Amino acid sequence: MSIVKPSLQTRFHIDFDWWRQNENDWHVHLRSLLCPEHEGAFSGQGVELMDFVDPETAEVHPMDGLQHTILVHCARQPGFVTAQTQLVEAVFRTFLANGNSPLSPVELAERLNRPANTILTTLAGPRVYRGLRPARE
Amino acid sequence: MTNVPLKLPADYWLNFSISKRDIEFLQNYLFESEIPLDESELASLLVVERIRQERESLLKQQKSEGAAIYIPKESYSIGQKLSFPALNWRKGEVKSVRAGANHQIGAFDVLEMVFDDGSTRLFAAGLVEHALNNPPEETPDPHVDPVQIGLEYGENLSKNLEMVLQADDTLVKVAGLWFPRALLVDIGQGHLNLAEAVLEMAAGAPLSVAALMEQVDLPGGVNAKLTEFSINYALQEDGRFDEVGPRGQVLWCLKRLEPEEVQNVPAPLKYTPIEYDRATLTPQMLALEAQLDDELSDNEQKPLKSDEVTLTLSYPHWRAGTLPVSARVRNFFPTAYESARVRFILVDARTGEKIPAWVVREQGYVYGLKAWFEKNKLIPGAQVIVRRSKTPGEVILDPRTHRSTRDYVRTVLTGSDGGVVFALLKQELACDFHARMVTVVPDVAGIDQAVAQLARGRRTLEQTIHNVLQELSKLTPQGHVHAEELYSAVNILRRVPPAPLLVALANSPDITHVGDLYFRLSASASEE
Repeated sequence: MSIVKPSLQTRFHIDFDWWRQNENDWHVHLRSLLCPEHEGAFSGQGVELMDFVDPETAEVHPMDGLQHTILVHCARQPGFVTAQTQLVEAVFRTFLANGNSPLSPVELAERLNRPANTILTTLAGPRVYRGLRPARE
Repeated sequence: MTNVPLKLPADYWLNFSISKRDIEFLQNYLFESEIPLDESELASLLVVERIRQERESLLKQQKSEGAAIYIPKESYSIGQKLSFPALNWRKGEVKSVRAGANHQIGAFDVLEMVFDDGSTRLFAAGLVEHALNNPPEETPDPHVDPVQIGLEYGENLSKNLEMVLQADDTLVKVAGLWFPRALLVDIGQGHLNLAEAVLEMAAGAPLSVAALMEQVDLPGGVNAKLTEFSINYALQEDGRFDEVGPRGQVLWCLKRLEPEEVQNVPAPLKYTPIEYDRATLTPQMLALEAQLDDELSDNEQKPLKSDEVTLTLSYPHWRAGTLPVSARVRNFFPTAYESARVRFILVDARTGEKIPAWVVREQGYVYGLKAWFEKNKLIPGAQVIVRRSKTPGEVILDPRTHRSTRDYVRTVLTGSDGGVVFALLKQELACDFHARMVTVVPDVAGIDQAVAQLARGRRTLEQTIHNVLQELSKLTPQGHVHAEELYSAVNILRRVPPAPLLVALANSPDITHVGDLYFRLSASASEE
């Protein structure tokens, strides 16, 4: 990972590897994001691996079916991100909704209507929230 | 084949340098089309050609590196090199291929790509539905859009091109148009002598080359445009003729039949430059300078976009029968690509009378109005409206005259000793005028004599200002004189633009600024 200090132009994304390594409740958290339509579909353990195809670049990201369903369906439902959603959660959900395409604090600020500097300070701090880290360019 | 999106650096056109290849392209174009073109047309052609060259070079680069352009619907095999448009044309090699796993999409392959930097990423192949399969039309990049480039950089490109073309012996320029010298039709001395005779018969009225061609027997069987260009070039190279047409129109005149005041600056407008420090001028002074419409002012005013402008006649212009072509009013009058003098028609807004006039571009004045000023009983300080006309080559003048009234106005009187006195006298007035600029001059010959005497005496500008200020001070109870009044009055005795006069006022120890550009002589100076 780059040791250059992130700036307002640095693009962030969800580092799913970080989730796998650091959070045991990864699936629990993801399940909480399922829409009513898919809530019952992932009740059991052992979800299959799927290839998510980036709609812009056609890059393939292998991920489990739960994550894939949230990415391609649940995250695109109205009300997934609202003005009341807490900042870190709002950024996390924004990346889920856009297929995890990297965005800079400035771009996130435009979408979330929150100050870019606040977003940068939160994401660039020593603690990694929800796997939100600078993207590899 | 995928349309290669061309991206040029943001400063590409700003730092554009014209190469030998560019010039060869333009020469070939002119040879083939046989149509003379001006710099802006040639610059537009060059822009389109450069974009084509850059696109071709990018395509070649893509091909030479042997990498196929990645399209998700295509199938690829291990070892194949691919170039990724969506990743800024990064290149990589297929390391492995496996079946894709996504029942929602259907069957497809997953390519494991190894990029030049050693990184590995996965990409879909054999994917029927994806945006990259049918790339949208190239998003317009302003740096590859000829129209946008023309708007933003056109003027600069044309200027640079002109400099380069001037150094090229194979091309000639006439009335702003360039053409290959080798294609010119030979115009002999006999033809030129005939042209001179035709113009002489026109008694100074300019004629188009078409009118000349009708009466001069020119070689037949040649493209008419080519013949016209050739005769224009031959006339241009002969010192007897002068091209006097406005931009886009070529008109010829005999130099020796042009008015003396067009060939040489009339005496009342002649100015001997005075050194001064512009930094001394206050914002208020700069605003006044802009407002005075003096053709000698060195300000960077933008030309007006409105359809009419009111000009105030200063004494020098009234005396010379001219109008100033200041930066503000420049685009009201015809201009030309090259001609130093442009012949055009002024139309009296009230009577419709057409007055032949000349724009003397470099010295910034319009000549030909002496009789019109007299006829309309205009005085120094009179206001004249200049209006654009819908007819090309014509400009409308409105004298703003009215029935005569008698009123007190500043009048300049001359003594037998050459001295000048200003007084408020009742005068007959038949036109609108500027209250601070107006001065009636009953004895023009006396003023001419005073001016000559002043010039012989080599008086400095400061001395003249001092004397005029002393005279004008007597006309008001407070003795305060506005800079506009001083500018108008000093210019009766010597030609001076506003800036040096205002700097002299600001620097003089004997003159006090009492506010709002009103000045007065200090008590000690006025007693002298």
